[in-house]
Amino acid sequence: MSTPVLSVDDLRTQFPTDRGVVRAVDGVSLSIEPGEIVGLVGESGSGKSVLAESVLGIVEEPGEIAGGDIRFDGRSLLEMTDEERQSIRGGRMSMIFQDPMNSLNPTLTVGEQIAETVRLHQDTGESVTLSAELKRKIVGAAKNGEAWRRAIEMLESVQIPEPEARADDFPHQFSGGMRQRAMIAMALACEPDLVIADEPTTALDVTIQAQILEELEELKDEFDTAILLITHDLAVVAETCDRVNVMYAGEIVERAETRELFSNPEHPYTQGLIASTPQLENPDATLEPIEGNVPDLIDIEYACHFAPRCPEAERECFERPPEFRSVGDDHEAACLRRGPAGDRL
Amino acid sequence: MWRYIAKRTGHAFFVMWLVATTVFVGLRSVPGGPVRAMLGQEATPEAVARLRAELGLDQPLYVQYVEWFSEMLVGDFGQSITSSESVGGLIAAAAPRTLSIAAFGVVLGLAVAIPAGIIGATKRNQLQDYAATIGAFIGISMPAFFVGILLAIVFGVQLGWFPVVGYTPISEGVVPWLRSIFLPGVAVGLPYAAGVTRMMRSSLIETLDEQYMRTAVAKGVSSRIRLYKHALQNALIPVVTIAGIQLALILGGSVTVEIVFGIQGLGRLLVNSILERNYPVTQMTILLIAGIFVFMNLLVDIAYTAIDPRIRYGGEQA
Repeated sequence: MSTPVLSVDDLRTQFPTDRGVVRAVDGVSLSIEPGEIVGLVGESGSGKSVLAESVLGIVEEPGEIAGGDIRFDGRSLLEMTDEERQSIRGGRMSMIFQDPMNSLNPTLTVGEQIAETVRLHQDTGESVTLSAELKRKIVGAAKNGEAWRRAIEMLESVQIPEPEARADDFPHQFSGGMRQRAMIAMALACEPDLVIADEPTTALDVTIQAQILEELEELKDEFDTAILLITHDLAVVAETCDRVNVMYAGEIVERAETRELFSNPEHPYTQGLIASTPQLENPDATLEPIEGNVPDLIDIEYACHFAPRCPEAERECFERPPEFRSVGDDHEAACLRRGPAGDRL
Repeated sequence: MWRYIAKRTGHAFFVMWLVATTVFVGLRSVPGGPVRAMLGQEATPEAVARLRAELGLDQPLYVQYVEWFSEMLVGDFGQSITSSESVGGLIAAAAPRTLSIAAFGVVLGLAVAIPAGIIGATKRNQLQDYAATIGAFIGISMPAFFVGILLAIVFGVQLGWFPVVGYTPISEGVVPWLRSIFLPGVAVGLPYAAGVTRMMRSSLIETLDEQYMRTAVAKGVSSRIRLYKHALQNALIPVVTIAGIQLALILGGSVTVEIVFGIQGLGRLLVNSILERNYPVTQMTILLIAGIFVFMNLLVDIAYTAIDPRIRYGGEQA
């Protein structure tokens, strides 16, 4: 087997607060192979975004990585210097954010925002000192430079019409869908090994969502990029992902190949998640909500984080932490009541 | 963009007309006209009536207004009531002094406030931030004339570095001119700097928290380039507004500061003319001060087009 692009091992990211330590990511392991799309699904508050920020190294203060390891192409990111990580960010590893309206800088042209990434991470022969960058901001980037050409090329590949002209536009002159395309162009401009897409389509109209996802997949094939797709939307996962990790309250509870997960969901949380999603082909099916809310991630005292909301929970679920068990072909769930030993409580 | 500038300019003219009219009506509704001020309480009714007729004050208010306004439009600002000097001449003598002090105050204020605000925001809750915050707090708490007195005592009287009294025109040399306006300029500039520093700091802190700043981190942009290329311009947008509005502080401050430093500027002229009920002088001085303020704010509006592309291209969002 090839080296995974990304392997996260027992990662713990915590936020000390006045009320106690928030364990936003609490012992998560996952891996992504080159060129595959891996989904990370969960409700808001489950720690998906913090996981993404941990991988990219942009966890906001006072958050800190308290344990575990993140390996990128075999090398531990946590052992790298800040400079090394900065040179990877945006180049070999990049991120697409949820909110296209606020993720682009209103005072820089779209073309410049893409070209800047290219200049920083590829050898275009263009200076990236502060004074050179400020000069570009004031008089505009060199239109015959390699970085600008690349920016236009990327805008074209994300289907922005008249890319040469639109590259000179400011973000407010773009629609929401176009801004997200520009974000994607920026994230993929340096042909990264890994893109983390955090809810890339959530803020968009449904029709635009489908287009964006399709483009993301095409670009993935073109550049052979691996994608970690973070979403709460099961339809998006079913549509695009090769494998899926289901996250709940800071932990991964189930992982499987996409089709396997949807046809044989094993973990009670995954089952609940699927049952609470409307289905087009079966409009008469009743929606089954999962009772309760994602718990406060401060001092969870029970062993299985889902136990208080779980319809099948027994006393032991509150006392003994579940570990991953194989429940099918390349399919694991972290539940005491599943797998060979399951149901024997 | 040109439509935006035209609209703002039209707006400025309208404000000026409002100011002129308000001043005209307001002055005349204050009890005790210029005649009483000139002749005293003991004057005979005949003498009062004669002087009123001479000054045109016996005419109905709207006639006086139309006359004053139309003469002003052709550049005739009238004569001082108490002396034979023309209002235009009085103002021409006083205005350069006040403008020198104010301009020096603004330049100094911005030169201090913008770096101080940047330091406060980037070294948040560190020693440098506390120093900038405390400095700004002191600056906001102390009125300009008080700062002026302190400066005059320390740098004028004790150390003797700068003249304590008087104004030297720029025609007599740049250095003497700068020396004569230095202390009053600092006195009006510091309270101004304090307000702008606070705004710069909070605006930059807010900007650094924006989602697009996270995008810049995720792109691998260094923190220095993030600050100067990505954040600063966005953070300056509200600062420019405050810097314009706070100009009132400078102009207001210079009225009292001029008195502290014995400079015959617009502030002095205004105060004296009000005491004498010298209508023509008061009107024109207020109008000029208001005009400076309105003009500077028009410049601010135009400055927006340079720093906010959302105004420069399309949409009238301001």
